[in-house]
Parts: sequence; structure tokens; C-alpha cells
Amino acid sequence: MAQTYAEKVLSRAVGRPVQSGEVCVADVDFVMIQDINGPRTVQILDELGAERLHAPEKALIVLDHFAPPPTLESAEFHARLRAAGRKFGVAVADLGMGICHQLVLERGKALPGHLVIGTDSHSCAYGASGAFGTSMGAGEAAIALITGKVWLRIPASLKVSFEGSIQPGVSGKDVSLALMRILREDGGDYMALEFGGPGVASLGMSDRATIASLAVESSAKAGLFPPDRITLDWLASIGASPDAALIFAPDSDATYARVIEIDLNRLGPQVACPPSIDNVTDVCDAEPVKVDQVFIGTCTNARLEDYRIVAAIFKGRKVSSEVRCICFPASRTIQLQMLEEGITQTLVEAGCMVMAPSCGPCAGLHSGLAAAGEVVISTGSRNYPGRMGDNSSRIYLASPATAAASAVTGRLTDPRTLEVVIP
Amino acid sequence: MKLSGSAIVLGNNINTGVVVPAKYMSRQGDPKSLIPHMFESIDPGLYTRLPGSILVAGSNFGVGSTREIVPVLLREAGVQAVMARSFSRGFYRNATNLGLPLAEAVVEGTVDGDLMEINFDTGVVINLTRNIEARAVPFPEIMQRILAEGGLIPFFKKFRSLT
Ligand code: SF4
Repeated sequence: MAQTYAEKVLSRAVGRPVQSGEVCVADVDFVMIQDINGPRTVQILDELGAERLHAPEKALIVLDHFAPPPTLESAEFHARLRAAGRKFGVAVADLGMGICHQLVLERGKALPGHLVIGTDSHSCAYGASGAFGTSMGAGEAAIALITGKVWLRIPASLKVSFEGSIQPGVSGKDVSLALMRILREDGGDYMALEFGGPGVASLGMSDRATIASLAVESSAKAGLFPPDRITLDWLASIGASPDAALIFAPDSDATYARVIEIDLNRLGPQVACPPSIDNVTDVCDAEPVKVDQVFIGTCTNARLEDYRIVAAIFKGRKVSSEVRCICFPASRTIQLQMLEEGITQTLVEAGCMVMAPSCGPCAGLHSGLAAAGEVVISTGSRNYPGRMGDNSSRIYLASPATAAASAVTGRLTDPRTLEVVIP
Repeated sequence: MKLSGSAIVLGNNINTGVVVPAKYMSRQGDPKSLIPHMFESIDPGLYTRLPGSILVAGSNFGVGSTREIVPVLLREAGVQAVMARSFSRGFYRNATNLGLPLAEAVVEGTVDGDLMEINFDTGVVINLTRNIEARAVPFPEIMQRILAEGGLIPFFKKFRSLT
């Protein structure tokens, strides 16, 4: 029986060969709990009278959305989550450690062939390293913590095949937005996106994390990069040791619900205009709207590679006096690397506010909300009305390069029009 | 089980962040305080019509975040059931787990205020105002069992297992 990559990973989790369409109970390798849905997970653990968890070492609680707490209520959520961490022996990534998905990836908790669930919709980011990452609600996470199991329907897969190679000034975010342009917000529902083709070799781990994390914006259950040399080198660099028996590849004759081809040679910077992430156009064709705020951050786009691009653009330039530019690294590790490479210095000199690792204003929770009618260019993942502030503010989603270039000019700008060599 | 209510017609791709914006999540401990913010970005007055309603949405209802507070709030606000051409998987799971009845069905021509009825035993959906009938896509077996127990937590309390 020919299998897709998703079917292979889930066959191992279920303990027998499975095919798309089956409903199965599967063993979970890791559970991530964040601070919006985590309080409810903890409440349900209490309600169920849980005294100990199935495998507390295979879980992580992350305090990232309300980091640091902007309200008394959110401070209480954190206190409850810390107490739960102590009670159950689950590690807590406290304030300033980073955004949940980046931490799971960089701590090597999402390994090739593993099934990882998180109480956050972008848990599909773990597909960057070849784990089947998917999001579940607080109650399912609580039961997974107690039993080590979840039920799931084995998804059909949609194959995204990349040709060519990614061009200067273009990055993983542009790839994701181009894909959203094709798939729209419902094109991936109940499916796993599987990325492949010769062009995948030009996408580094940072780009893959961006692309995998945005799979959910098409309603997909997961977004998977079957492991290759790039994955294995990256895992070695972070000191993770994947299980050689779990390095799967999809069968060459596997069946896909749909195949989409994207030619990376011809892909330029993309922008998702309000009010939805599938309202995508080429930046060079978009109206050069005047910008009030640029937000560089989030689990989608706040890794070292992203900030190297941003620093190259800000080097010797200034943020427009009409724009405020707020930057959040995705983790403390990245924050330290930015300091070491002089990136933070460049950003601050250019006039950016460089904040500590946190989700920041991505979900409109704190540190940079948008006022009525304002225009925000965000490197984040969602732009529905009111996501980052007032319901009449407008969010344009773009790559770090486009965001930085727009911060400099004060208008939505194609980064390739600035005379700068983008790494 | 049969439920009926007045239709509130919604479009495609209704994001969970449109049902209730994430920016109010620090107040999730007091769900009632969030009700006036439901659907505010598409229609600030819509929440007043939620009690006793059946939401009639297009495709991919509930795309976005996997917050359980969304089905919790829909119930708190008095929504009887949600009917849609299709549901986004995270919402579909959460709603079932929280015991909010869903029907994957389309009744063409339904407008705001039509009286809708859903028979969950037969899977028949009727627009009583216009006398149009449609059939809902049946739930997977595990979801039927979870629903029959009133949600995932009661189910788990009873069986202490997922099977
Ligand atoms: S950065 Fe944004 S998308 Fe990512 S986990 Fe935080 S709130 Fe969610």
C-alpha cells in the first residue's frame, strides 16, 4: 500500500499501517500548552482529578502570548500555569524565553516522524522538521496529557511541489502567501499539506518553519516537510538526535488529493491585503498604501534569518519619521544571536523598538495595538478585522524584507526596489 | 434530539477571531463579559440576536484559532446550533467536545430570521419558513459517541479512555 508522508508518520503513531479517511487513536510524542488555552487545560486536568500525567517530560508550558502580562487576569493565568508546571513536573518556558512554536522547534521537541500536538493553531509549524504537528483544543490536550493519546482522522494529503529556487529579496513568507493565493482559506481543510519537489532544497529551516506554520491558514491539519539533508544538518546543529528509523519519505506512487506546483524562480514578494490572508497580490502590483506601523515578529517570521534580512535593509537607513517599527525576536536564543551579530544595534540605530521575545501585538493582546483607521504591515499570520487593534485598522501581511523596506519608505514597498543586497 | 431557532446568516470563512477577538482573551475567565464583543468586527449589534438562534454559515466556519472559548461562548450566548456548508477542523472538534450541536448542511435560499429546525437523529434540516429540506452529513462514529455523552470531558469521565 503506497503511503503519503502523513500516512507514514501517523501509521507509526497508531501502531499499524493506516490510510487517509480512517479514524484512529494515536500515541502523542509531545504536547505544547500555551498561555491563552493553557488555563483551561489546567482547569480540566483538575476537573478530571489528574494527579500525575502520562509523560510530564514530553510536555512544555509556554508563557508567551501574555508576556509580560498586560493585565491582572493574564498574570493570574501565568501563576496558575506555573503552579501546574510544578505540580505535574512539566517544564515551563517563562517570560522572555520565546514564542511556543519556536521553542518546541529549537529545543528539538518536534522530531521527524513524531506526532506533536499543541493548544495553539500554528502548531503545524512542527512540520518544518518533519513532525506531524497539529493543534487541538484545551480538553483534548488535557486528555492527551493524562493518557498520552489523541483520536484523529488520517488526513488526505495535498502535495505542494516547488520548482526552481528562491530568489533574492523573496523568502518563505512570500511562498506561503503565494500558496494562500491558490488554496484560499479553505483549500486545505482536513488535509495535510506535503511540501516537496526540487525547489525545496533552496528553502532553509527558517523558511520551512514559516511555510509549515501558515499551513493552518488554509485550514490544513498539518504542513509537512519530509526530512532531508537540510533538516538533519539543522537538527545536528541544535544537538537533537532524531531516530533513524523514523526518517520517512513519501512513497513515489502515493495518492494525493491535489498537486500544486509553484515555480520559485518566478516568485516575487507577495502581500496579503486586508481583510483576509488569501487576499494576496504581488507587492509590485499593490497600491503603495501609507503605513503607520510596522510589526516584525511572531512565530511566523521572527527568526535570526529574518532579522539578518531586516538588518541588511536598515543598515545605514532610518525608519520613516511617520512610522513606528516594533520588533520581537521569536526566542531568547535568537535575541542573543541578534545581539552577538550586531543586529539589535542596527535596528535600534535605525529607530526600531526592539522588544523581548513574545507574541506582542500579533493577536492584539499588548505592546503595539493599532488605532482606528491605521495601517499596519505585519510579518505575522492573520489580518482579519480587529486582529491587532481597532476593528477599522487594516493589516497587510508580508515578509520581513517587505516590512523593513516599507518601514524605511513609509509606504508598502517592494524590497527589491531598495539598493541593498538581501542575504 | 430536535432543535429549532431563528437563522442568522453568515458568510464563508468565519474566523474564530471574528466570533470573538483574541484581544479580549485576558477576560476569558468571565465568558459573559465577552458576549457583547462577539461578531463585532462584522456587525456590532449581531450579538443581541444570538439567543435562540441557529447560525447558518457558508464554507469553512471556525477557521483560525483552536480556542475552546469560541464554542463555549456560542452556547453561553444562547446559540442553539451551528449549521454550515463546511466547518474548519479545529472548530468542528472543539464544538463536538464542548457539546455544541453542529450540522454540516446547506439550505439554499435561507435568509436572516427564517425559522430553522435540525433533527439530529435523522440528520434532516428544514427551513420551516420556506419549507425547504436538506440532509446533514453524518458525524464520524467517535464524534457521535462523544456528543451522546454531552462532550469530551463527560465522555472521558465515564470511559477513562478514548476508545
Ligand atoms: S506569534 Fe501570533 S500566531 Fe504565533 S503563537 Fe503568538 S499569537 Fe499565535
